[in-house]
Amino acid sequence: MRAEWLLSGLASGRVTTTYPRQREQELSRRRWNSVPTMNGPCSDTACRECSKVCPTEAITRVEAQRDAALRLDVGACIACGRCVDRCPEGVFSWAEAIDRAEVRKERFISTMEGGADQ
Amino acid sequence: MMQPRLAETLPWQGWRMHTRRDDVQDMIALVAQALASDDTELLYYGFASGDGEDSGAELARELVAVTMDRTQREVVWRFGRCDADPREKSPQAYFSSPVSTPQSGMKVYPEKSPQAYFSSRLLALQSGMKVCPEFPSLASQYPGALWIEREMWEKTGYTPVGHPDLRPILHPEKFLPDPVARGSGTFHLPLGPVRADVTESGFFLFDTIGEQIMHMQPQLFYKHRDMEKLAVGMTAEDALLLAERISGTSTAAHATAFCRAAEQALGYRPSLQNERERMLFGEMERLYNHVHDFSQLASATGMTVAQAQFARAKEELLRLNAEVTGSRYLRGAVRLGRSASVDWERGTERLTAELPAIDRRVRRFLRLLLHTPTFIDRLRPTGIVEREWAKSYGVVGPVARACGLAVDARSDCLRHLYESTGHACMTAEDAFGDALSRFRVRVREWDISLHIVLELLPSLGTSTLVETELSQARGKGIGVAESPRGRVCHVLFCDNGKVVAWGIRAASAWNWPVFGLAAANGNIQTDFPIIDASFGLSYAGLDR
Amino acid sequence: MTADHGIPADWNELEEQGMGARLARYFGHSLHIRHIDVGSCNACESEVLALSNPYYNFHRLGLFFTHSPRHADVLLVTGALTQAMAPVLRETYDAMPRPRLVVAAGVCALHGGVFANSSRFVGPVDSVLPVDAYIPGCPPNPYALLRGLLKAIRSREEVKSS
Repeated sequence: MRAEWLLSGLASGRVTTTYPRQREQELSRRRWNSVPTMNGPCSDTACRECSKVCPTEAITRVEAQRDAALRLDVGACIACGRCVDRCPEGVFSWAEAIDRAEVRKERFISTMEGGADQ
Repeated sequence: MMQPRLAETLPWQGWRMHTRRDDVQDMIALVAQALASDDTELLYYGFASGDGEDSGAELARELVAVTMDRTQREVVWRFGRCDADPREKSPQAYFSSPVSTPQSGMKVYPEKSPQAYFSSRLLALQSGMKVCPEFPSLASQYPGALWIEREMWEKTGYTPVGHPDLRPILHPEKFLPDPVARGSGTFHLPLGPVRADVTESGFFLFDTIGEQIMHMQPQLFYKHRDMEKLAVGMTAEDALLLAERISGTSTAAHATAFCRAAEQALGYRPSLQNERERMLFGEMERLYNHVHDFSQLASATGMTVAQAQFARAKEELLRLNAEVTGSRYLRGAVRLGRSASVDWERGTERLTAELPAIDRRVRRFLRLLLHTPTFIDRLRPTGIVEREWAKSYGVVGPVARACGLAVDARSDCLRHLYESTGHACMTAEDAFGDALSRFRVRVREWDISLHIVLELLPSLGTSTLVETELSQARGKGIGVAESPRGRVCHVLFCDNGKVVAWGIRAASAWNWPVFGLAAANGNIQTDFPIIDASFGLSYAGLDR
Repeated sequence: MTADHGIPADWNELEEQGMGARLARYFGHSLHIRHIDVGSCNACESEVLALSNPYYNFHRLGLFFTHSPRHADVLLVTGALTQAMAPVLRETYDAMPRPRLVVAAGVCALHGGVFANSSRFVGPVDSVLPVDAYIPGCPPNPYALLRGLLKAIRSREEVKSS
């Protein structure tokens, strides 16, 4: 019985990831919906769809600037995917870097100037 | 593909649904009477609005019990109104009813002194509780309601008269259980809330003599997040995000139960395609959860090769989940009133390509485990749940099926779908109710779930997205689904498309009260990890 | 814009200098992690547990789980901090020897996520304890957890050198 356990254990091979040494190869194979990212500016400054559907207010429009800017806080995102689904311009998509982690919380916040005509 | 619209809300097809309003005394008596029968189960019991008068709605004082009669195929909603009549009674009145009842499961609950009651009552008052009206306790006749009534009492202040063990349950930071067994040679071992290894937070108080566990009291609700109240005023779509986060490893089951309740309440009729998908997600969830339980059990018995192999299979299943739905825990897969946005052509290809290989490996190690005497010997007489406890506590899931009870939400409300895959509700062949029976139930369910997934896949095809405006209707709904841990049930009251009241009964809510009894049932301290792993309970599901 | 597309600059550097040297300098070759759940759904626990499966096998990086906070170098916090768990979290942190790191994992620990408006929610973990690394996600996947833990060790070095 003991020999059978040993052989079965050894026979199933090695599967351990090389992460973080070969990070890029490792992550390129994984399409996991981890956190969203913004791909480009949003041209429709009147549209509020993304900030409206976001359940945790992770996406907001910063109105103070001349052209409304989009502000995405990945640190408040629950990965529900509504922004990815609903944005008519496809501004949001799932990040390819699924291993996001930061030493400071502010680094999760990214902003994107609004208005393509600018 | 044409989407068939069925005449009735689909999960309960062919069932009758009644609503009855009675005096609260009669209502409790009727529920207790119905539960004495073998075929009736309590799906939900609690106040319609968990927070008493704060919610303002007329639902606040409504006591709700939803029962399900399997032979008659009917679901009965019973309402009883607790009228605001705060008569002050002498504390002795709470103890006039007999403490020891015929149900053997009750025997371990000691008689609490009025002093102990007073001190706990004082504590509860200090935490801002109101002195409120009372209702007859169901727990005095049906121990499955013991923890539920304690929670109701503490949340609303409404007192269940005749409750045999009325103590605060929701505030472990202020109130921890007292040791029960006293005398020379007894030791009290507090364990938790931060316990060994990576686990959820919960507190256990062991009363031991030597190695023997005399009595064990779990104190949970460390993780109480007050979700039912949080959801009030939300749209059903937003509340679904909460439902997915009741218990992360039962995401699909909770989301399914919530969606079924919401669709009933809002008057939307789901399609067969929708229900097939939900069933598939439920089985995919069961696969990785059962493999996780195998891994935990192997770890508790020191079978490290098996532990590593099952952990590996779990990771492969999680990756498969992510490849099909995008989320490792199937979040966002079950959606309200519409089908999942999944490319089923690709999904089918991935699942049919990878599942058989995982299955072969899991089976090989399951077979090895079942032929390893050291493993079997540790499980055989460990953590026995007596059959009568299982019945009187309303135990669900693999724990109930290991006692020989045919309790399975899939064969109740989705029988036509479930049986179309060639399976019926299964129970253990050797229903001893011990850790080995529970292990064997899960082994058989692994086979069945795998078959269901592979059989359902061809019928899915590319799904057409049906966008529906949910109606602004007002109504109530009950949703039931079978999670890997057992039946989960959601009760939802909606008005204007918004949640007015929400009730959650996770599988673990029924199984936790029995866990303490099973742990003390002639076991020793070193059996505890095995009992823990074989129950596979979720703390988050109970705590909410 | 600070979106996280490619490999961040600090990553290669971290690799070149070798994790082993850092661990040796600050934590005696291995890093022991005490996990504490302060109010999560159990998905985060499932992902933390995945670190020790054969796919991630985090022991190869010198990381281990430990039972007692008294043996721990890192406190890995998951979940939305509830009122009942707040004093427990404090006690666990106080029991840890110095130097100690705190890593907050999952959006509930970072922000509260869907539970941010709950009456029993106390606040993000960094409102109670100093946090050395943040890992987003609901739940954070094991790759993110690994990276967060490695970054936490680096953050300690920044503090030491400054």
